[in-house]
Amino acid sequence: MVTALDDDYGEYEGLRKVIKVLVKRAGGREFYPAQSTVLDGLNDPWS
Amino acid sequence: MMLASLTQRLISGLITADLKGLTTLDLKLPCTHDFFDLSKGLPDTFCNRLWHLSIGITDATGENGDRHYTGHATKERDNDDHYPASSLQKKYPNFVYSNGVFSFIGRCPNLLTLELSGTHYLDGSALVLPELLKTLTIRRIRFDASYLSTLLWQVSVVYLDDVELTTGVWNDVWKVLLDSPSLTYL
Repeated sequence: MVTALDDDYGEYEGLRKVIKVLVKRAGGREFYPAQSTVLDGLNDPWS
Repeated sequence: MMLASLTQRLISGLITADLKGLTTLDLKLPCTHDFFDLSKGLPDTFCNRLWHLSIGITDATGENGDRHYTGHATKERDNDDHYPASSLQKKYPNFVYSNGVFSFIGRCPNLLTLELSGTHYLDGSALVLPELLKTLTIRRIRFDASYLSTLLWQVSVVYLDDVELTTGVWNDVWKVLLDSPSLTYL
């Protein structure tokens, strides 16, 4: 969990891109919020 | 006074006990200032052996002590303005003496894992990571976005909990991590 992500700066989108890279690097095809500790406790930005 | 004595006893115990195989240390002390004494008191041979280090602070009294301390926190605020600081925090505020923690970490050059958990937010500007570090867990620490990016660039696994930026935005951090060759978990 980080304090706090701001939609105005595209911070959710930026994080989403990083996680995509990590999942791809791990050989996965999909990614979910649970694969990042950063999102714990925040509103779901994925919806 | 009693706490200073406790820290000294702890140091003596760590030095005198036969701990030649000790590579993992999980240590929580009342305040950040205590780590100055620890850093001064432990010999290089002890610090050089450590591969895994977990450091925590226990005194969360007073304003901005810890999100979970009072149970009244919201997403935006700790809501602990009216909770009095301990006599220890009045004398040695955790934020002011953050460097105590970082000086001890600096004494441990062979760490592979570092877990660092503050109560009052610590000033992370003096945190220098050991060269071999792979896994970093940080909680209740404030960073400049560009400095945090530099730190995270060198590790493979990162756990962030209640970490704040003093300048910059998180997107500055994400943009750097996007190109990190070593990162595998965030």
